[in-house]
Amino acid sequence: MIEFPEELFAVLESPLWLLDQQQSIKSKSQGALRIEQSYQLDIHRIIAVSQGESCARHPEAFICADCALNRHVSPAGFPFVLRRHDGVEVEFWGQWYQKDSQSLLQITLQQPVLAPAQSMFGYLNDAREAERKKIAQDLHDGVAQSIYSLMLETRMLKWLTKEQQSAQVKTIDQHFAEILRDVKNIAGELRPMTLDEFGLVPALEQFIERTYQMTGFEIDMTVSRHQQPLKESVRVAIYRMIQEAVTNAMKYSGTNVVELRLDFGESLEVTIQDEGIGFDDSADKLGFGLRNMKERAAAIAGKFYITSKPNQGTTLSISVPLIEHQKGCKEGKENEYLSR
Amino acid sequence: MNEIQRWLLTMQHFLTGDFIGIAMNVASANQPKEIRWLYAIGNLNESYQTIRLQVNHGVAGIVWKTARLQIDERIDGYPQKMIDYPIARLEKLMSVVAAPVISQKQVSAVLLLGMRTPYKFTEKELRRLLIAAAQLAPKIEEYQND
Repeated sequence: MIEFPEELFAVLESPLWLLDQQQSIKSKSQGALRIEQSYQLDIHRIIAVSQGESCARHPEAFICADCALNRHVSPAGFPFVLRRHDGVEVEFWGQWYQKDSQSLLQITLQQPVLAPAQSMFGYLNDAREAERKKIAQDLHDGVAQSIYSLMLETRMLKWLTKEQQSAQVKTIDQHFAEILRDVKNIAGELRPMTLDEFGLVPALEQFIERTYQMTGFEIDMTVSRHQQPLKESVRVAIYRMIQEAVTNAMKYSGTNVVELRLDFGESLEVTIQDEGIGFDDSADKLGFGLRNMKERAAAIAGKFYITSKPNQGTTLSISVPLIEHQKGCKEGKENEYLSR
Repeated sequence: MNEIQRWLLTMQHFLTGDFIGIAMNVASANQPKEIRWLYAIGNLNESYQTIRLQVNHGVAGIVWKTARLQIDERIDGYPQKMIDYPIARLEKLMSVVAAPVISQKQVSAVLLLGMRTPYKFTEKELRRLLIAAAQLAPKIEEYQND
């Protein structure tokens, strides 16, 4: 390793530690000093992680026994987590080089993979990728794993006695039913069949039931006046906007119930209201999610409003004129949707 | 009050946490699993009983699938986890650890310990949870045979 004057080493911005053969710190850079001031740091533990002797994610050996990371890291580049003094954990990337009697440790802050989007295009792109990731995970961790287990259970049949086989067939049957339910759930989340077959209100009823069952979150729906047929584009847009509003309420409102009102008059008035912690609704504070809802409403000639104040709950309103849509339904090909 | 509830009450000093819950499969034999939180102490209300999970969904569903200890000490600041972990949302938990209860080489229940402030579980606390899960196993078996 090149001999490096210690005074020069000390002015380096990058977090670097120079260690001797006994792994005692010989010198550290300015960046390293800053890291030491801000984080709970144990250099020897980081080196142990680089050697595969300690896991970056599970400090306790007994939890780490089957960890995928364990013993599969390289000193040339390995991930680990440091805790700030305020308790927040931050991900880093480490590199450890050793030559002769000296070693050098360099660490870099890992940038989040999904940095917050800076534009509407970025937001939509991220949303699409996040959705694909979720579908891929559901297929890989759910359906594929279950099919693999079933394959093993089926192969095992030939090793069992007649009596044992009967019990095993019952188990296999149960696991088939679980996979079928998983696949139906994935399809239902992507695009509920009810929305196309029976229309907006039945699809919402199903969504409300499923949300309550899976999460315990209550959606109190009221439908007033006579339900009217809606074009496919309107049905889908309203369904998706309600879905997003409910997801937002679950994530941020801190409450366990929202009110959903649909009023079919000359226009369809949709209101989604919670009594949660609210937020500052000034235009410059609106995220891309809400702006996207506004654009979705505009795409169906509708309007979207939001009112919220800290600790005063949130109300989202969507207004879509119905007369024009009815004309469109009657005149155009979408006449078939009138019955839905 | 049944045997499991009584056992849970005795555990509140052994497992120090804001919330302790037990999830079990409530589906009848040979039906797809439906996992529900049946017993809890330190709960804010009774809403946790409304959650119905499938294998691989929610903290309990993931434990059921993997048959391994699951720890999440970084719930706060990650809104998506309010969707992923319904129990964390309903009980306002910021840090959770959940252990499988194993009977006859299969997961028969999930034992969860949760905190309402950011918290890093110690090795001692994790070991205690595993001990408690092992203690709970025969009680679950007994309950299921009744």
